[in-house]
Amino acid sequence: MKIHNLSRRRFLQGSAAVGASGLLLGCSNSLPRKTVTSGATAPTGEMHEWLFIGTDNTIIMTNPQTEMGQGVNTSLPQLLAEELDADWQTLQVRQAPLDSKFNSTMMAQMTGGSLAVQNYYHTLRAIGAGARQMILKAAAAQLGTNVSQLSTRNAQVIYQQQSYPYGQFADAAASLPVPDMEQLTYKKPSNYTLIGKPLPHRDTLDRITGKAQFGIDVQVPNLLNAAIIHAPVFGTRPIQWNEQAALAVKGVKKVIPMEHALMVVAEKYWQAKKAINLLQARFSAYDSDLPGLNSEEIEQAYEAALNDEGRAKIDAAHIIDVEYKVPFLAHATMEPMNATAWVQADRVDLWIPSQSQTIAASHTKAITGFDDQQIHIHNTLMGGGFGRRGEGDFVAEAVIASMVMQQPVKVIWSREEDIQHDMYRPAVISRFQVGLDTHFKPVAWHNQLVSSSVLRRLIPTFTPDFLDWVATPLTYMMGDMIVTDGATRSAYLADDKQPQTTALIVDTNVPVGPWRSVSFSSNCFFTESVIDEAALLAQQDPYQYRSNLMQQTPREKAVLDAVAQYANWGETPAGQFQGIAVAFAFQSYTAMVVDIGLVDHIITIHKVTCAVDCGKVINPNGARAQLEGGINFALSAAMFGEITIADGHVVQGNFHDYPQLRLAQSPVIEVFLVPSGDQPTGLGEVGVPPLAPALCNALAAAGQPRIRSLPLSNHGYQLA
Amino acid sequence: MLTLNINGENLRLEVDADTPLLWAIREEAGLTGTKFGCDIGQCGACTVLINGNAVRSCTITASAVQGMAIETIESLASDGTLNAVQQAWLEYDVPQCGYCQSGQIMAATAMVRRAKIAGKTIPEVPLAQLDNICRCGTYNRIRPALNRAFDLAYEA
Ligand code: FES
Ligand code: FES
Repeated sequence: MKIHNLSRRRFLQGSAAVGASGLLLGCSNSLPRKTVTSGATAPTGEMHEWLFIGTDNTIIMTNPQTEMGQGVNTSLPQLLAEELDADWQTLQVRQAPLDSKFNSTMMAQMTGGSLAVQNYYHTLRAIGAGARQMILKAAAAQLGTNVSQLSTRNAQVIYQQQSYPYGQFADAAASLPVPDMEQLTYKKPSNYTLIGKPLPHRDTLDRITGKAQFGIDVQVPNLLNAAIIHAPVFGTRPIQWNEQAALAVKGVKKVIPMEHALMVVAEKYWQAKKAINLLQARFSAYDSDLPGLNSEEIEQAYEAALNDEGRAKIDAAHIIDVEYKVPFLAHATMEPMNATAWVQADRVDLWIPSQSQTIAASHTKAITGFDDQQIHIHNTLMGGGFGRRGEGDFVAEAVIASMVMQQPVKVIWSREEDIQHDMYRPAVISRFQVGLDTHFKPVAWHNQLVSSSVLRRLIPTFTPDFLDWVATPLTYMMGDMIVTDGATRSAYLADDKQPQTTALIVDTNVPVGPWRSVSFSSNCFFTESVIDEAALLAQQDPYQYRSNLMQQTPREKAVLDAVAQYANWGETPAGQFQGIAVAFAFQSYTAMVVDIGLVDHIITIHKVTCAVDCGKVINPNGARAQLEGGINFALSAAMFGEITIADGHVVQGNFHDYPQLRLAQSPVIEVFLVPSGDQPTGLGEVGVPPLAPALCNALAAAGQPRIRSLPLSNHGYQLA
Repeated sequence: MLTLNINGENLRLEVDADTPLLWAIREEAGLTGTKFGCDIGQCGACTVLINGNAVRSCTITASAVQGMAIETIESLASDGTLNAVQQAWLEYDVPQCGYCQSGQIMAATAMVRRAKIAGKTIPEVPLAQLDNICRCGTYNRIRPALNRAFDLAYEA
């Protein structure tokens, strides 16, 4: 990695604006390649570099990742500000515009995969340390001393008890050569004032006063608003609609028919929404060759694939031969899908709550023919993401609307559209044949699972245009390694007896996509339930059974032991039951114990205890929030989450039939961070996977029949 | 055209009689702190106070609340001082994405005010009264923050 000093170059967007000059630092990282395109003074609009220090001591950092509630507007600035010794209170943070230099290791500007802190841990600290070193050098020259006589605090250089703002040296620093990565000196962790501290989220005040600006709140001059109705059956088209009825509504400007949807554009959203209900649209009939007419058809196709594959024949003292399944799930972000676009002759501006500038841009390019330099992305805060906002469908619709109207247009989906036109967590069926020896130790583990493929849909979006012709065939050749995440490695099995897992891909007509923790959300439920079945078959304590089997995975065993200890495993009052589960996902280890009470089929969750080893923790407050949130997210899904298909479309439409956990049902959650090592690993999704199996294992401990499919509401269970 | 009293001001707004209060607030009064989440009264993201009661503003037309006192999230902090609920939310750093929080805070504000008038406090006030959806799952912090908000309200 090499840091570039860009201060001598003109800053393209902001060049007309007056402002302080200063130090602007960019960074190029050999993987992925980052090209430096602009530099210099007072960035007033898009900032294409990572860091700006103005002569008035304004310090601005560009956040390469987008904020959806996971706290990257806090955790990532902590990294840079720590090494820079910036002033935490006055540091400004902006979301990155479209620019590949901010790419994540996914080779795109994409916020996902629980990668934010892992990906930028080195880069952001290097930029902070590099800039500080340059400021110090400039300061030493100006003050007639040497660097060793200087210290820094809160964006001030301190020399002989006097404080000098960084900005005073920014111009001089800008003309210095940039230090080599290898020569950067970093703080000792014992001197940290930001990294590892439980800082509150930077956006909290805005979020509790109504000031936070989400995509849906965007205002630009001459803005029109659109409502949309998609053809309910995936892949079908609108064929007939009453345009006049819609146009008769006050404020309505136009009905825009699209391949897959109809949009009504009006002055106000409410006018468009009222008009769209008057369209009385009819749509073409289901015409897909793929299974997708209803949930039963999909399940039959899955079962057929499993039957073709057959079961493994194993020879062991005890055999567990079971089948598990999970349904499709929608993301249901609190803020429904929306986007605002303004397409002009030579540029397009997008105000979008997006997890991926790259995906948004690739859709925009395909529609407008513009290149990257003409696409200006203003990322807003997001009312939740969970993977859904890494898609570009909702952006494309706004771009089309603006092209047609030649005006800025905001398209807002209704909740019904949001739930019925998602890219769903795939339904999965998973079979196991597990052999146990005479001591009930697992010695053979065969797993055939069937799912549709998230990767097969995503790969063509990620490949460059010139490779389009090869992208789709490639996905068929490659298979889908994501489908087996969490199903190919087991801490309970010896190295030479690791799971024999076969992934069978069945394409269906239902679009699928990454949903918080992706395949770990299903595979962890399966594997941690199956091992619990083995423990009960062995008449052993489920925690002890697991712990005894873990011989080669010290970190996994450590979180398992920790959670058992913190949850007072085995010491429940009468009438309470505990279930345990552990996961290795996104390079982190997460273990949970769920304490329940049960009366008839009414479950009271007394407590969820969670122990996590996510390596080095940057912000314990944010880390806890992510785990608490992940647990509640998973609990909604485990209890009532299910998307079903009938007549080719999604049955559920709003929160009355796609219910979500509420305050009175939410458990007490205790999170224990078990840090290890000096590298951060994934966090945003790791609270999800162990919850469902731990809960179902608690039901088994209560003497209930083993739960092999979700949600629990289908088995008659309710939350108290 | 109708007149709504929002945050103590009488506003002449260009809205049709059937426009839901939610969209009149967001689109005509320009107060975007009140959020749209479901439009059917299920989620509570659109909660405002009408004559002191928490109401889901997507379920009521603007014309039905003429002459009543409407309060939105923007009015809670006066002169930069947060109200008891906001203060408690700040102390517990409740929000994740924040999208549901305007509604949570409005609903909690109504709970706290009403309880104080009746001289009640938690646990006499059932938690179930705050049943707005939070997809980020911030409930583990809303619970203690709500307790704290009652304390702050009683101290004041
Ligand atoms: S938007 Fe009004 S309750 Fe959901
Ligand atoms: S904080 Fe995101 S929905 Fe509640």
